[in-house]
Amino acid sequence: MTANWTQTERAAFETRRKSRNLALGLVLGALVILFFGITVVRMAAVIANAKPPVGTSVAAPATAGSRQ
Amino acid sequence: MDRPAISFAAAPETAFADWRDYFALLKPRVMTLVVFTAACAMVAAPGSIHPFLGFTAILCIAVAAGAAGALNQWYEADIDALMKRTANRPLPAGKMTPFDALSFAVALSVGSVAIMGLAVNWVAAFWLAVSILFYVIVYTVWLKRRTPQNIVIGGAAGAFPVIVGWAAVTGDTSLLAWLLFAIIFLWTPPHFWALALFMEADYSKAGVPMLPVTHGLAHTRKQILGYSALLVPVTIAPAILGLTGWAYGGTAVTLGIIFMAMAIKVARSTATLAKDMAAEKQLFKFSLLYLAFLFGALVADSLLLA
Repeated sequence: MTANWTQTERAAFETRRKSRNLALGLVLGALVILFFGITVVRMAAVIANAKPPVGTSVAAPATAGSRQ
Repeated sequence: MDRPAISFAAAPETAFADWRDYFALLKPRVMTLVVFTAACAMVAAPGSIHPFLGFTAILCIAVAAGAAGALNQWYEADIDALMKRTANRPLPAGKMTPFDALSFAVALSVGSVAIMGLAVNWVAAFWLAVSILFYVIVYTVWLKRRTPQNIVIGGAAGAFPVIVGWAAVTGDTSLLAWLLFAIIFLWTPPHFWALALFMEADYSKAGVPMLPVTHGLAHTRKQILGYSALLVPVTIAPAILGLTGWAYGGTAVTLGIIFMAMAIKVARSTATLAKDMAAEKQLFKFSLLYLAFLFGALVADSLLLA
């Protein structure tokens, strides 16, 4: 059906299709940034709340008494 | 065999929808109010949320409101075509197929709820899903064409975003959140009925049972006054109950007095032609400012208390 379009009709259609594709591309790009941001924020919160693994805890500074 | 050349009119409808048509499907003007009230509720809610997650929550609320608006337009394309105010919307204007509009709306609905749940919390996601379903099923499909009280129930759909915004910060809902819900719920009838009074001819033509069409102008004006009388005490309740400070309380009292004065003016009006309905137009315009200032005061108050 579209094969019978006149040159003007085809040009109008292509302009609209291009603008739609560009908008879709921008939305997809924005979603990538959004998901990346969410991941960073959520992971940062998990890391901040996580307990250090067993055996890797930072020892308290030694006091004079503890050296004996 | 040569086929006859076709004109624009015979071309596939979707060939002519560009991004602006999809954006118009989201009812961006309605979205503005939803985003504003939800953002205010997020600021007023106790607790805090990471700014990026707060932005994500607002984005999800905006997209969900847009998706509900798109589903509404998909379902109401037939009556939109009959009203001057809505005849140029993408579906009645034939710029896209109903299937494209429905697919777009469903994808946005599911996507916004899923992202809200995964990124923020599932309580907020639950209320977001409820707000979409309520607007589409209870308001658009069930009540809008059946009862002149459609606007009252539809008001609840517009009020859910404050619950979603609150839940996004706190993970639950509290008395103040439900009072904010009640404020928008009770504000909606006077706001929309003021509009319906001077747009009565349009609704009548489309066969939508709006109160001025079914019960007449005088009855609608009494209902506006009644709902305004319920609205004003509810706006003051948060201050009386000690849930907000008196910066909000003072603003609510002052705005309430002006709102009541305008509602009384509308109740006393006997105008029957849209061009003579100055009081109704004034109330409609002021009602928008009223809600904006009220929620603005709520935010200012919570920042002062903090």
